[in-house]
Amino acid sequence: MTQDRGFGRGQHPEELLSAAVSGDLTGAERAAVDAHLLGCDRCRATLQAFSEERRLIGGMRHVAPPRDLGARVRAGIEGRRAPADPWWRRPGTLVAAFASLTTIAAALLAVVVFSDVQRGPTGATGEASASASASATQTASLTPPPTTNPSVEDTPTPKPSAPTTALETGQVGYLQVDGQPQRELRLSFVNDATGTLTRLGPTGGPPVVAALSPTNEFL
Amino acid sequence: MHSIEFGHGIGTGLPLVTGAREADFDRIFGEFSPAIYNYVLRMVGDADRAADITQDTFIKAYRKMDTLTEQTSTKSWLYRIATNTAIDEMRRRRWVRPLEPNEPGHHDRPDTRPGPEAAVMDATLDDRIQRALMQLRPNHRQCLVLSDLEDMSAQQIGEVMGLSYGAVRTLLCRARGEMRRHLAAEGLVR
Repeated sequence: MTQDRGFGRGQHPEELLSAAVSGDLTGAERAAVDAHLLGCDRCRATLQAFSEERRLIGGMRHVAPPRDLGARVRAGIEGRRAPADPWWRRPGTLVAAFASLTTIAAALLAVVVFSDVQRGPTGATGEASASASASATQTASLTPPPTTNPSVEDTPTPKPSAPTTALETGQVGYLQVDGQPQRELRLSFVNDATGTLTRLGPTGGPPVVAALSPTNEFL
Repeated sequence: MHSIEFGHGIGTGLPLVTGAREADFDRIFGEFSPAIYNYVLRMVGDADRAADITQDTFIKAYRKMDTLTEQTSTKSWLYRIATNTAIDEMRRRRWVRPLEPNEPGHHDRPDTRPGPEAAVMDATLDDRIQRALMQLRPNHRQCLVLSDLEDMSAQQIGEVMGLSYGAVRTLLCRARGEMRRHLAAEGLVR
């Protein structure tokens, strides 16, 4: 093989020198290279440079892989690529987005319900007592004001509109609080025309102050 | 030792050939992941990219474990997957990023790099060797790293790169000559 390559005077077997550095020479090749090196300064320099280059690369610092590599591989095998996933596919993002949307929806619902409470039912007659806490079942609307709230005196009286819950066009209804004072109270919506009662769930949270408008039309 | 602990019935959704599949993979991962990571790191020169490629390599390896037979060298098989994954990644990046300063085609652009003396003085020995490596063509870099860092024989490199023994020796010689010039430019060899 070496003789086939025919390196002799004026020829430099760099491929064999490279193979010599990595220990890939046969016995015959090794003997031929050794013989050549005795009389070739250039090939000795090449061999030295190749050896030095191998020493440098082989001595490069060993870097530890990331500690989470195993977890990342496991996640990838399970069908998701945790670090490479786009933000909309990451579980944490989904949870946060869901929580945000839920919060927004709850806030909107609260605004709608509170708005309906403020407007009050249309065409209702005032009969319930303002001291609702004394009654086991009391309506929270249509009650003459025990006192006038100055803060609402200047506000225009809104046109009451019927809540959408359990109502049809032309019907009116009102909110009702059931339960024992100092215990759990339940909020319901009553269709004034049909008497249908829709449970809206227990009330919760800190107590709030409510007052009737000067026209006694809304809470 | 890194352990991935696949042997406890996690829902991979993949068909299992035998119950030992996870154990085999666990062993392969523990034995080879540091070396594969370092090989890829020297190939791409970036720790984050190396981690991503190593991750992809082992995911592919898990899915291809059926192709691993008794006659197959696990090491060559795994390095081949890593090599192909790294080359794919480098090709993809080639289309989406500007040329690196040392890539062919950059010579007609203004060179904003620090001068050679400053660059040499600021870099550690590893940085300088890595910088020289990154100037090689990918296949030259690949065979040189496999030979000199991973200590593979020409036969093993041929298995990894899909080349004959003779082709590997020729490629390795050219890579050494090229690397010698770049190391000389870094002042590391004559």
